Amino acid sequence: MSTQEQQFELDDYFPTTAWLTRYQHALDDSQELEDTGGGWGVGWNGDFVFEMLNLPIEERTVGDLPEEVWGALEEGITQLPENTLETVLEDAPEDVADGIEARDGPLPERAAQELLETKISEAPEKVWPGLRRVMPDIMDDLLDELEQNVTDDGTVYAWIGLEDGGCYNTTTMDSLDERDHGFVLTGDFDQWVDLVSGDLDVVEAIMSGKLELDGDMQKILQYSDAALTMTDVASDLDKRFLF
Amino acid sequence: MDASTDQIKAGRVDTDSQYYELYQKSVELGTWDAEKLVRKVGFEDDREVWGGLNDNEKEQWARLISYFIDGEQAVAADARRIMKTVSSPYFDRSMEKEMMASALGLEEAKHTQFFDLYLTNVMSDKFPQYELDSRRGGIQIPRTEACGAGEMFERQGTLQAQAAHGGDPADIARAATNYHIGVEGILARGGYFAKNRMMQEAPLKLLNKGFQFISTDEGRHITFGLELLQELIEKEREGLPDYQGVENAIWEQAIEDIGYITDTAYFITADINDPLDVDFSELVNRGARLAGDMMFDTLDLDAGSATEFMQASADAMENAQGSDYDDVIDRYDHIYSQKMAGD
Repeated sequence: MSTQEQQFELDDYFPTTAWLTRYQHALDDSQELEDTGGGWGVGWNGDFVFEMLNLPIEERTVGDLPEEVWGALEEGITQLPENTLETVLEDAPEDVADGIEARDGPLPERAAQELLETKISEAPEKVWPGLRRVMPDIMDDLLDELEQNVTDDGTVYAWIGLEDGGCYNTTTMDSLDERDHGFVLTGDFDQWVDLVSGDLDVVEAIMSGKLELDGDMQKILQYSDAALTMTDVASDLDKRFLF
Repeated sequence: MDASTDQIKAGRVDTDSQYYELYQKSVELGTWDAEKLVRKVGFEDDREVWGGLNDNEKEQWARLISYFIDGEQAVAADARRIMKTVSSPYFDRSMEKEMMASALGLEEAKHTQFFDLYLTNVMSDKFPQYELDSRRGGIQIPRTEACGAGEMFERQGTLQAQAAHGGDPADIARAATNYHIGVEGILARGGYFAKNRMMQEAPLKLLNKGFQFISTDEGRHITFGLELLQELIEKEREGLPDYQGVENAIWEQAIEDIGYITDTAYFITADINDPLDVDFSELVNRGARLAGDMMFDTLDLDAGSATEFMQASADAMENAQGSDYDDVIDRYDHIYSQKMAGD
């Protein structure tokens, strides 16, 4: 079965708040974290922020998203009856309408191509309510994620609430200041992909400068096994990368 | 013809060697004169700043400078062994290495001289006991003896002796790792980081100037050591039987040394509540980055585990948290007094 035919839920995709919630549950269910992280954050702030920089939202287009996402969008548009599509397109933003108009070929193909070539960063504002109604749900959800959880400069701030060997909450933030935290792990999105895939050792990444850790190193050293468990749990969790 | 840009023909010295380049840089840049420096800058401003510090702030400086003066003396003393080691048959074309090692020896002696002048003329109230030469029956300064640095310098002497006296490539790799990566590359450069932080609160002008010269010299020494290690690693990777085990030796030594270094970092910061805001966390981060740059980026080591390295640091920190350094300092103060009295 091709990936286009497979069904994925929002919480399969990294980085999304839905995936982060799955990560929260996996951390909370981890016996290893309970064993190694007992006492972590008790009487002091043990909450982490994963700061993922430089998501390629300017470089990539909707057509660069995972195949099953853009495939569903393309299929949804091309399968609409032409008069329905014309009605939908009546409310399109001017630059989208102009872009479709300037292309050659049948209307459904032109419309699909115009949307697939839209930059990820521009997608939320170029997709209008009428189109959203006929779009696959997964695409609609992902656009919401992009709009709400990725900053204009392509950063995701994932906040992980950790205490006494468990994970009590997760969320995304607009900036580092939005919630109190004790630790920040920062790196380019590419490095995060390698990290949560299990291809990058977190300690080696910090030592080589691929990731930067800000926080009380006494605590990190004291709970070094718990810190490693956090990345192990992330890499063990199934995921599909949006970029 | 412009004589300054003209290539001068050399005979037996290989002027294309990277070791020759380092030696030549030492000749050009490493000739600063510690006596001239202190005469030019003078002690007055530093004495004034020093006099305005409270006892905790002075103690933090004293803990840092202790390991620098004892460390510089230890590395100067071991330079003669390095000269012997680099002429080992396990290295190729060693003449330029010997030239660089001789420059290193002179520079380390000068660093010791600078700190000796500085302690005597500025910080003497915190160092009533420091003038004994550890090689003439004395011991290291009590503060150095109390922390991991003191143990590391003693280990350095043993490793350098093993390498110099017929050591195999793994012995040489251990000695070079300890000296150039551990002592110079992490302990000393971590110390510069701490010094820069402390200078924000307590700007000791002459000390800062001396440190600038010293850190430039040390940069060449670290490069020298990494070149030596790379040469050994390349031979190991070529499959030469005598060189097998070099990478493992480097890792083992690095893991041993990070314990001493972490202990020293704790000793100069968290143990005394860090009055001049060095920040233990940032110092550890800095040390980790320095280690990573050398071991992963420069040497491209794949023999060891970064996690094991971190665990060694974690274990050392746990021990450090339970240490009573003041008690150890008191004990060594007593021993030092006895030595000074000639007992």
